[in-house]
Amino acid sequence: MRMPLILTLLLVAGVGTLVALNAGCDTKTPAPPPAATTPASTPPATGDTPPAATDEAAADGGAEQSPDEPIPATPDTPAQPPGGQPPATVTFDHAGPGELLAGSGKGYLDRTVWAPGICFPIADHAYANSQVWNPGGGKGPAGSQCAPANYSLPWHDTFCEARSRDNPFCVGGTGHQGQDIRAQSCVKNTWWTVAAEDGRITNVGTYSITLTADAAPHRQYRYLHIQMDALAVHEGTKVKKGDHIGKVSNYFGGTPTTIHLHFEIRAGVTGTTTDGKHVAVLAFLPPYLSLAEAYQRKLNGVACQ
Amino acid sequence: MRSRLLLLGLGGLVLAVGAGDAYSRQSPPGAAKTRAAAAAAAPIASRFDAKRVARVAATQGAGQPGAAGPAGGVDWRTAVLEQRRGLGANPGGDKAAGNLDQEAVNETRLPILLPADPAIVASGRLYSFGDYYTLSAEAPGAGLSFSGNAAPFPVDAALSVSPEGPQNLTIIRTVEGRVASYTRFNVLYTVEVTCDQPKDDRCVSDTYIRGLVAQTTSVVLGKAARQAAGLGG
Repeated sequence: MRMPLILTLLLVAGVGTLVALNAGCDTKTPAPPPAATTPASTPPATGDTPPAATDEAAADGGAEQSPDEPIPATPDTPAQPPGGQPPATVTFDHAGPGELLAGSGKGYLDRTVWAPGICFPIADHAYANSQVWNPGGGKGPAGSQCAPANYSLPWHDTFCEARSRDNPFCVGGTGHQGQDIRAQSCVKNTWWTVAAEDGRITNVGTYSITLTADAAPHRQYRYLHIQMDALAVHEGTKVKKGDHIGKVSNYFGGTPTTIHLHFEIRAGVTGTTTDGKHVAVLAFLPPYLSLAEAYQRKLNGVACQ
Repeated sequence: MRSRLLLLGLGGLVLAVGAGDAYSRQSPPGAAKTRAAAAAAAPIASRFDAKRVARVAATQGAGQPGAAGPAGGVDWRTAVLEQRRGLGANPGGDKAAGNLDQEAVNETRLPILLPADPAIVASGRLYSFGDYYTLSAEAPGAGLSFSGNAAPFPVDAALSVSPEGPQNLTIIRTVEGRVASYTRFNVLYTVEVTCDQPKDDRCVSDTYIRGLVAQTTSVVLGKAARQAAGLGG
């Protein structure tokens, strides 16, 4: 008797958001996105012979944002204005920072490179695009997660993409907290992720790895969904830029997600809230341009170490 | 009547960030094998050679974004007072920190805040980066981390957060759970909880992490911190 009563009170009082990560009800149904990415060019070969794209990986479904998980409505206010320093020349085919797929939310338009000089976190070629709004995603068009469109250029930014989690940089305070990146082909447990900076593995979670950088401001690079039972590191390992960490997979607790790397950059920041209050907070930094620059260096043959 | 009392009590629990009694911990079965294995495999010590310490030090205050603290440097006076007050109330209270790698404790140039629960501290590994530290620990079925950062960097963006109370507490939902940020001694502290099971109550509401913040009150000053506070080594 007591437990149902307490549960009811929790709901009535609204203590926290009692919405599980994979359950709930939609508060907004965004318009379906347009046809997903069109291949525009292909990265040069690495010399390796990659496995062909295959559906061996897993049945689709279980993307990071399931169709029935609530996504808060985005306020009808402008996105963050463009600003920041122009990044280094990036010539491979990629959409601009903050240019999200239509209907997938309001991106962060600032052009600041928040983590200059990092090593691209996947050792081989990769495709940055949405796990939710592309084929095989919970909100995307019909198709497999292994659809060719998902393994083609151009890249697309996914930071601030409509999601249910909090993000202080996004309009309305919610949005995707990192960048989703597919590896060279749609095969799990094959493609290595690598250290973005010199640092130390400070946390190993159920499906996440945290690398804390030695150098100030001690950015935390978070690698999600990699193959956790075959890691190249353990908690406490010191790593150099480019060192192997683990392989791109679909680990996501009990329910697999699509095969991809969710890459976050976190750091402690000070700033001003939207209502003018000074605050210090651990924030998710927009990773897209840092990744694009790093990938271009990789295409140019610049080694990480 | 009983329902109203429960409701009021629950609301008070949620708001009582400053009250250490708010802490309550649930223990779902099945701690993560991966996490447990990683913890077991991890070396306890956090080793830093002189060159690395010098390199970290050289990146500070030289135009690096980490030069500015939340409000202009650590408030050592308050930190020392609170450390002494804590020891006065609980003379054996600093023994919990004795389980941690003392080299990492002594490298840390800011007040280390530890949870009052000795079981959490005992499960923890401390990693020091000089002006930043993080303690990784476990509770059954969940991962916990407690971090301090004396060098957050300024950003121009308007941040969509709603800080609460004198410590500017903010709580953010993440893919894996919750992260709380707050300020004490002009230092940015964070507490994070991640859950093995997505529907674990500790990760789907703010109650648990508010309790963790409320009970993270033990101030530890290592050698570098004591020197920075003017207390000598």
